Amino acid sequence: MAEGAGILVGTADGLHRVGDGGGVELAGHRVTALAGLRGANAVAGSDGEWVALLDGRSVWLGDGRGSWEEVAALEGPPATCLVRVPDGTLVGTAEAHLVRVGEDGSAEIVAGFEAADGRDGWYTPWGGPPDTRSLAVAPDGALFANVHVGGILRSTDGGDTWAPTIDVDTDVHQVLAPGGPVLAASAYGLGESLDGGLTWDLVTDGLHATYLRAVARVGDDVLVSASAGPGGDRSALYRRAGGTGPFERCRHGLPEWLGGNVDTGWLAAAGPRAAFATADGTVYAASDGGRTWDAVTRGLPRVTCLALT
Amino acid sequence: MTTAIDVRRADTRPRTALPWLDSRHSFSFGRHYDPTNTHHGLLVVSNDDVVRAGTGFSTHPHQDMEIVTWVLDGELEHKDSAGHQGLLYPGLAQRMSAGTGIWHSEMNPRSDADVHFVQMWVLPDTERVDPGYEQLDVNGDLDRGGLVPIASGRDHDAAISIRQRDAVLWGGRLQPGETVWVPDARWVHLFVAGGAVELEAAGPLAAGDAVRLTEAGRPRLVADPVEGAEVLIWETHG
Repeated sequence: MAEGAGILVGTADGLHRVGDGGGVELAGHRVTALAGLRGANAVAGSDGEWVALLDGRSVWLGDGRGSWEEVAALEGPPATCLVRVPDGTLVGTAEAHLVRVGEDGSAEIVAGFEAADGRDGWYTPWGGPPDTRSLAVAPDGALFANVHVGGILRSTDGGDTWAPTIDVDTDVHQVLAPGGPVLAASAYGLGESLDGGLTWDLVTDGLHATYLRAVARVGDDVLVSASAGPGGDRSALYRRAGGTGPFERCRHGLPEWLGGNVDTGWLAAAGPRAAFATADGTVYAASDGGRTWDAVTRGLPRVTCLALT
Repeated sequence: MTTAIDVRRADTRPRTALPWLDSRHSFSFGRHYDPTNTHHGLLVVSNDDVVRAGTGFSTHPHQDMEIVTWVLDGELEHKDSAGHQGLLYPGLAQRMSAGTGIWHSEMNPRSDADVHFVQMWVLPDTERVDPGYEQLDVNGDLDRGGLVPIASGRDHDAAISIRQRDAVLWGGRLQPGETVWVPDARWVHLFVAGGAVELEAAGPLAAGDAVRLTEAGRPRLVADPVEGAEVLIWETHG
């Protein structure tokens, strides 16, 4: 990796910095989620400014170099994901709730999400309650909340009201709104919306299997992880050059199969750099848009999230 | 209570179809909610699941439920947060008591074949107990014919125990033309897991069909004279 370029890997035991000096912060904590303060999504926080979700129970702000401060303790079902918004942090939870955490540490359930159309139809294949699984904010401020299993809901009024978009049964695992098309990693391929999330198409051309758990945009290209299903059998990484056309399998520097799903939050990209983690605690990085990969560390504790610095 | 024999055909069951899972539900489940179809006696879930090779239900939670899994074809790997791990195969009865709460995964370890199993949930007679697990190979008993207790809250020695004193799951791998009698209980749920049968007062039943009996006595059940049948029968009294 280039000097100064690092990867922050959230794990079941602390936040591990790969490259850029290395080190472990927040040891003993499960780093549930991580987002840059300036970026819309969990990538490239400027000067290492980050917001982290720890143990599913508290929100912390930090510089990614050991200085962290708890800003809010959360009650209720465990928190699962987060995204920075203009007036604080939006946190998703188990049982499919949203909590708005203010800059003053206040935490309030987002009532509009509780009242979202179609909520009664959200479910899980195992019969339990659905979770809010991923969040995204587009450059124009539109908010996206992915429920598993409940599709993707969109808010264009700062989170006051939410409307369903993609079909619930598309089984979305991650939503991403980096500018340009809104993207969704789903069980049926890559969901792509060219109209801000109103309508969606599914892209599968070139994939050996359509069960996608993670998506990232690296430059104009799109990276996804794909496998045969929840067990992660025959898991691989793919790149869609220019965001159009078929997917191409990423092979250079990677094993034949990745040994389990590259899960939601385990794949990130910024500029030409990208990185992802595997279930066995290996992190791979690329600096050429995902064309060639190197294993940059191995043996990490169970990975929970990943971001680039 | 009025006697009732309610036949539910296989193709009338709500279905959850995903790339990795084909699940048919006898009762309300997941997104399929019907307030008129939530249980029969103490049986609240009976899912007929086919999970594709190399996939399955990744780790998820349960609480206060007795969960019995019966594999019909293939293998299913169970792992839970209490440290239990097991490979289920046809004839191995498994019970997981979710109790105060447990996380578990159910994965098809085979890369070359689907797994077909029936998962059944029964309400426990006591909530907030410690989670538990038990498995038992009953193939030998099944091979002897007749109905065999697979899971029981009524002290059947040859069965796995469940924490519901008012429920027993009977299984049968019936030979062609074999006759058995359905247990006499307040509520009985008969599921044809394979083959075909003829049930007195209900008529012919094929794989995937089920019958909900209420105070129906002990009707005669005869396996198809050519292919025989595999049946799962819950008797519940509460």
